[in-house]
Amino acid sequence: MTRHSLIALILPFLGLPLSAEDSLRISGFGTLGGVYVDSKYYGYRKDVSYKDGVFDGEFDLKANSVLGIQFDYQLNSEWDLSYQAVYRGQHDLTLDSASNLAFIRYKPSANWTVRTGRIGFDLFQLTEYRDIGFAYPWAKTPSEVYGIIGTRSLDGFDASFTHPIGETTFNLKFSAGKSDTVTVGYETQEVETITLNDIYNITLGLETFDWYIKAKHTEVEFDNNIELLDQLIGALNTIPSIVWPDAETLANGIGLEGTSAKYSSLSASYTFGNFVASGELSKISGKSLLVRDLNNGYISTSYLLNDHTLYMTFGKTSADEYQLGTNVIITLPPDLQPLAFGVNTALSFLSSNQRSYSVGWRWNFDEQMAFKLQWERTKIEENGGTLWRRKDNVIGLPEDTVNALFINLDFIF
Amino acid sequence: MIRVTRVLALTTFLILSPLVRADTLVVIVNTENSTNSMTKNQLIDVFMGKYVAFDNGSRAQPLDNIDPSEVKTQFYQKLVGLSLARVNAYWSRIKFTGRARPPLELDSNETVINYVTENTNAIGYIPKSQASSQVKIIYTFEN
Repeated sequence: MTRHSLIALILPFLGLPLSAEDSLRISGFGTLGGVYVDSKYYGYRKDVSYKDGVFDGEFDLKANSVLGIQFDYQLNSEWDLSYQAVYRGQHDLTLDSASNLAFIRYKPSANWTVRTGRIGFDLFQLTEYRDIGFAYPWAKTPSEVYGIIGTRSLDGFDASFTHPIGETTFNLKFSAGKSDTVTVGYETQEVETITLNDIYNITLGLETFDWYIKAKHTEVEFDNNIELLDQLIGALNTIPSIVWPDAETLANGIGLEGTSAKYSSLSASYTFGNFVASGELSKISGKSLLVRDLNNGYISTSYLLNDHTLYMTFGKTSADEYQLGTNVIITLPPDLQPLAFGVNTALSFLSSNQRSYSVGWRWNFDEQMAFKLQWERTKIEENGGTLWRRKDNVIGLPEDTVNALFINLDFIF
Repeated sequence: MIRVTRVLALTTFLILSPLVRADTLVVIVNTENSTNSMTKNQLIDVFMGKYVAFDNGSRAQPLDNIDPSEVKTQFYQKLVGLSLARVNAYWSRIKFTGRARPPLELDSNETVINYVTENTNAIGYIPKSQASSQVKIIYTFEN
């Protein structure tokens, strides 16, 4: 039993006052999602935490399917508990991996809220509800921004302050804690867990019901390397500088353990008549050679017509290119060249370069159910396909243009 | 003939007028609540989970009236101009991220009125024809 769920169970026995407002609410959400792609080299995956891909010729009903259930228990007017479990096809289904939220909330006034336990990781605008398809118009969140993020929850606390200013609402939130993020390379079978320590996040927002603008900034420290990195670093450290002059520099720079990274996001949305325009710019940067500057963004326009929504979206992700060039590799002894290719694999691990155009349709045929159909065309640059799973018989990360079709049934209950 | 026409017109009006009056929705609070009126924007903040408080800063408990379902549909259409499907989509990203709790759902006009009379922080909506001196009207939606 993890610490956060234990807290949620113990507190009622500590004598917190009960009142007639005690109530247990049970609710949930889900997506039955179908995916089809036509790539020669790549298979689709929702984000880098997934080991399986959807390859050409397949129509998959698992990659985008989700089922979640939530329990909310109101202790009194100031305290309440929430627990949420989600199945989204995670590699290792345990109580810990399924527990998306498990917190106790203290709300002493309309302005202040404090939560502790397992809370959503408010990294970018949609990070907290990316698995709740009914909440947004598209069949999936834009991969260019969200595909590189494998984590969903933060074990820690957050404190938020909300205050009306005229017709707008101002919100300031601070959160801190740790998180485990699961990541799988584009070609490996190993499912790696990276622990993010000393996470500090601040979010500022100004909104009305028709528009919002929000800025987020997060700093993290990586607690460990993935196994591939440890192997590469160990091997690089055995190579004399006379054989490979840059080996030591690579060994010192390629690791994640003990290095830091920053995540920043600026997002906005505006509703005018039947149109909604929204977008987000995000940036990831780090001290490790693995976490180079990654600039991402999307823009989307929706047209609302009764129970129908038509939308178009453009997304782009761009990372600093860093690869050991062929001219470097061929100068190495033949027995070291596989190591050099391994270094290139690692350098591409968190480096994506692609852009996507998509058009789609959402139909709210019921108050609690929606049908979605989305076609997406993605141009993947050479060495930029880390958001995908690469086919086994393919070498490197070739450029490719991929068409994908998404068919969803989203629901809440 | 003219007298018969007038009688028919008056009868028709008397039959239909309660239905016309019942379509008008009002927002109600406890009679001891110090709030006497709220703007539409303030009601949006309360019922959409943005700032769930009265104008004096005290916390509010919003109530949804789900039986008959037309009352809830009409309320949100007048409040934010959205269908229930779109309201539910909005609330799903608020509720399932744990940011706020949706309004408490009550299953009849009478239950809403009883809850409001028993709780000074409650705020709900009912057809105007159902309102009485038991509750205080703080907002009336125009038809």
